[in-house]
Amino acid sequence: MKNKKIFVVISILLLGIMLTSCSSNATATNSWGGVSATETDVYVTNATSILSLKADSGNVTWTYPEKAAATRLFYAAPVVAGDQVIVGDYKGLLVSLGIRDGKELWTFDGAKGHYVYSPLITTDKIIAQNADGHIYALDFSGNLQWTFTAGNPFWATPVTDGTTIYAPCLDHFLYAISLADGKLVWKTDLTGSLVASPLLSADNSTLYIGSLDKSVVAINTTDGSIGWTYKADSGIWSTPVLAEDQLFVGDESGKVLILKAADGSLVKPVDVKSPIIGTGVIMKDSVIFGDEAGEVVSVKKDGSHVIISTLSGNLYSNLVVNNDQLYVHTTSGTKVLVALNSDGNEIWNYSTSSK
Amino acid sequence: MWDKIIIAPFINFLLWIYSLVGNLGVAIILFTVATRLLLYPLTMKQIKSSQAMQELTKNKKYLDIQEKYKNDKERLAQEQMNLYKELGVSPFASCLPTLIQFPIIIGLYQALIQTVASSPLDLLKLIRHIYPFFLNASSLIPLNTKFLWMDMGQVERLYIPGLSFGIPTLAIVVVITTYISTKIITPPPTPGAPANDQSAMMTNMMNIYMPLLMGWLAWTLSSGLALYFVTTNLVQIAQYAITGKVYWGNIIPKINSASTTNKPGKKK
Repeated sequence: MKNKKIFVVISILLLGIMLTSCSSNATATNSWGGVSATETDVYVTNATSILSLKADSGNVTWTYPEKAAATRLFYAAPVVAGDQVIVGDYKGLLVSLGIRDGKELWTFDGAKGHYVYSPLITTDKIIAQNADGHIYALDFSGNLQWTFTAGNPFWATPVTDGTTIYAPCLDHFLYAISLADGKLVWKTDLTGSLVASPLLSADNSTLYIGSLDKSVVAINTTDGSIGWTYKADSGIWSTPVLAEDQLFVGDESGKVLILKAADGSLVKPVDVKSPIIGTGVIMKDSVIFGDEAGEVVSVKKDGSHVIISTLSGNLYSNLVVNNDQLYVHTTSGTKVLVALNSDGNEIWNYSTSSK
Repeated sequence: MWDKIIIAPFINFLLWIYSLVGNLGVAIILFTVATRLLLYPLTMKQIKSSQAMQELTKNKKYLDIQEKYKNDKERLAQEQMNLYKELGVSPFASCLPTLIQFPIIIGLYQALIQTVASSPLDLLKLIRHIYPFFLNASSLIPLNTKFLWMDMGQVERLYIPGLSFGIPTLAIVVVITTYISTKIITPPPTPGAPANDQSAMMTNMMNIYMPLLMGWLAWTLSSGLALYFVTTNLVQIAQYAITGKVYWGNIIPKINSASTTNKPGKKK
């Protein structure tokens, strides 16, 4: 009897430990981080902190917050707005940091959900989409200008043509909203959750967007009508990349689809064999993608491709290129951020053991 | 392996229920009831074994052994084991079902966490767990996680106008229901039985710490899990009641339990 009770008590404690060890915070949240870059600096999220690194050396110039807490998580890429760095956390707090020292300038606590990807910076506003189903427009002092409500989570960063913002939502709709007052212009049902930003054509006439409903769609910006749809084999998690007249779209089955931007017809599927989740970038004459296997793949216009680097961890985050340097954020890798040249050679890296 | 055998089937079952009802809170309640019903044979075995052990403490031979070897712990343990063998009772028979349920409980917990999918990585994992021949992931996502005043993916707090803080109502309900579910199966002390201080202490400890532990989990984890705990407790209470041996009188703590005349509660 006594043995049994001891066993039960120990079991309960073990169960408690196992349950809590599965979750380091309230919602057991875990995801991939983001990176952004200017001519001189790189800003990166490292789960519990934001880091500013020198672009030429990878040396840390500041970190925020001074004391990281396991309960405060940052996965959205920090974004530069003048002399501020804007970043949102997973508790719904949007923070403005001084670009030089990382000191807190102001905060906006109006949201109740996660900031999953970075806000959109326009000439006079910060457009912060939140998983609580709202888009918050703020001025550069953090004052709320307007709020748009959809009711379902906004994850991906909207894009703008200067008068309208185009915001993808998990509720399958792409929303066109007036930048001036936050009023709905139109919305289009794309039958699948939209987890990546759309790509706006240079003449602002067309949006290209992928959805989890395994489709890539071209949308007319004037009324939201669908120009063409291409049906892929698996969900699209990334933003299409436009190189001349061709779209390069990574999908979850491990293919880069090369489509004609004009009509969505398939030029060539490029099989990189590992799921592509993050958005690629144009570097020199290639489009570079990161895949789940940790490979950095360079795809040429004719569909030929080559692995230029293999890193430890998964490459889920959007790639960033600046000054001929490619920034690759890894998930579960030994290096948090790696700067590569166009040949895939490492210039520097930041790891948690870096000083 | 763990993902394929345990988590993926749970996720698909939960999402299948969700596809019928369209609300994650309701789906969690139905899912919990269904899984508790599936585990019912194990639970019954556990309850019966536990009750057999409780009956044993009233057995004359057992009481004699306790008295005779009260100063020789080793011999007492040996004699007790002999008695268990003689009467065909295993002290671990009631523990084994608990042990078997552990991976299921952990699996359920992980399935719930992944189903709520509040980040891109969670959503990616969730989609990969959905059987494409069984459910259409893109039509299910985003899940409707709102239930009453709660969001199943967030920690639950009830905000009342005038109060500057949120009340963790679900955590409170978890503490109360866990307390009731542990108390109603604990028999009151047998009159004339030797005071087994260690055993009683252990029971009391369990009755106090388990509700607090579960309450703490419900307070810190997402409300979907707290809802799972509450539903589990309520189903468990109902299952105990069906067996016919519950001690409702135990729910209200007695001020001086040592001097209380033993009325075996309102045995059903």
